[in-house]
Amino acid sequence: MKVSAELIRDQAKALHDIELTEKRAKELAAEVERLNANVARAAREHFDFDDDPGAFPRILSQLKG
Amino acid sequence: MSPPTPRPTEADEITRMSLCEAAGAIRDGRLTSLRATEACLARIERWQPRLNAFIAIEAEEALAMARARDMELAEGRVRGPLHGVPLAHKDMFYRQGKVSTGGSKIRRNWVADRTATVIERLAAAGAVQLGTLHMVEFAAGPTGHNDHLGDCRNPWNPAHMTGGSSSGSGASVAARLVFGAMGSDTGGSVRLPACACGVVGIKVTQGRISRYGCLPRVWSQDCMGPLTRTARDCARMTGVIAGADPKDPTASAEPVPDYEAGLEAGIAGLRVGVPAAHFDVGVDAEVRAALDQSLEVFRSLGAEIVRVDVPDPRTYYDLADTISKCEGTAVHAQWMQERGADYSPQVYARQETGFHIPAVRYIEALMVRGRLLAEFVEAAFARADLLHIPSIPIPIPTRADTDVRDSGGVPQLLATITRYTRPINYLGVPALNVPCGFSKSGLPIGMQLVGRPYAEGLLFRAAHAYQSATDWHEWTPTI
Repeated sequence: MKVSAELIRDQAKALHDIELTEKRAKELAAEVERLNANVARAAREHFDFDDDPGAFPRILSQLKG
Repeated sequence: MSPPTPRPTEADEITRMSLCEAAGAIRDGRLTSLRATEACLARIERWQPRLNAFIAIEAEEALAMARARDMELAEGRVRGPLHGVPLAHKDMFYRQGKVSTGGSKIRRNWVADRTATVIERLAAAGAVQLGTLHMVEFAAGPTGHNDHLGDCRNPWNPAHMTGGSSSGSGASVAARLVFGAMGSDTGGSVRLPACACGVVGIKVTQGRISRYGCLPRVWSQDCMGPLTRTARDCARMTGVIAGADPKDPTASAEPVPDYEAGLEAGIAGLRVGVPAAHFDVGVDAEVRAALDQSLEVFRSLGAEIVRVDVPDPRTYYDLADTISKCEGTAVHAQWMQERGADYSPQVYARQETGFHIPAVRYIEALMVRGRLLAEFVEAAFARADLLHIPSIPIPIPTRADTDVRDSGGVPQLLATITRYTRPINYLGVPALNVPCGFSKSGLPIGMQLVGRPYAEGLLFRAAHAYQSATDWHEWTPTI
């Protein structure tokens, strides 16, 4: 999944009213692309339909030492 | 190399006590809270110009509080296990009616409208607060740099970074300016300054300590925690502040054990797990040697060193980073849009990515967290009771080398510094930095002990056993 500097620059302006330089848009695009891909991969490998973020404290308690 | 041998003043002799020793001396009448507070203030006066560890020194209030504690003792009233002990805290623990800057320009004059539960509990236990400590702007950085306050400097060598974001907490405890200090840890912000300054610091199990009245950084990963010189001191402070809090629904209701009670039980038969892979990436030879020596100490104390296969922490790192950026940006979005120029460029830049990460990715990162935690615990702790990994895998770098304003390679260096701390925040398990040596350049090296959820007591016990057999925690920096 390619994330372009143009997408980031346009999104910054349209959604957040922030002007980005071309250089900064490129930097952000590279970082967003990397994180987006890595989280998507982790989700593909581990996601379960019934997973609930709110269950995390309960899982901590279940696994306590 | 041998410990430095300065000529100590009376104040130096007092401040060389551990927190628990000072608390015991005050309670027994061998030391007054007033004298302890004066000793800390005398040392602060000498060291503050060198370290820039304090944001505000509240000398008169602290002395008045110390006198009150002494009066209480004279009347037979003991507030608790910290009675009369001088502490100071990262400037993000709110006190109603007092300025809490968060290390920022934006909140330079902001007066808190509530008091943090942590502060209330420390006060209820008798602690005296000496002031507020330096921190990275809005707790968003691992080095101790701060454009608004000036950098905090490492007491072992001021050219080197303190680590952050609890920079003043690490520096002030290491330099014996206070007996203990509170910090916060979202990606390593307690453990990194603890490591870089040579003190003990704990990131507790997620939810173990209330976040009420604390500056938010990343709600789902923020952990408040103390920095101290000894594991026993850390156990005491943690025991005072941990536990359920009706003001913070995310604070755990798990019972808080007496962390000090089991400290002397020893570690014979304890299984210390060393990851067979992944946690040796980029570990400097000097750091590796110190870590190996610490394992020998554990072995000599009767522990069994076992190899364990653990998942690659880079996945946890990226998931933690994604959550951190999204929540951090949400906290700051309005100010970033309206007062962007009031942020230092590097803190603004750290937050900015969160505007562009899809919400679905953020939620996915939260959804798989419990499943990945369960897998990690199964892998790491099936054959081990705790894990032994690096805190900072390289010798402590200089402030110049880690200054994002000056060098194109700095982001990679910052990622190296947090490589083995940030994944732990995603998993939510407890981790303790323990000093385990010094580099040839005279900067501390730390090991990180990691446990199952709510295994803080075990970490304290292992660290206490280690400190009973070593003296790294007794080394004192000199001017």
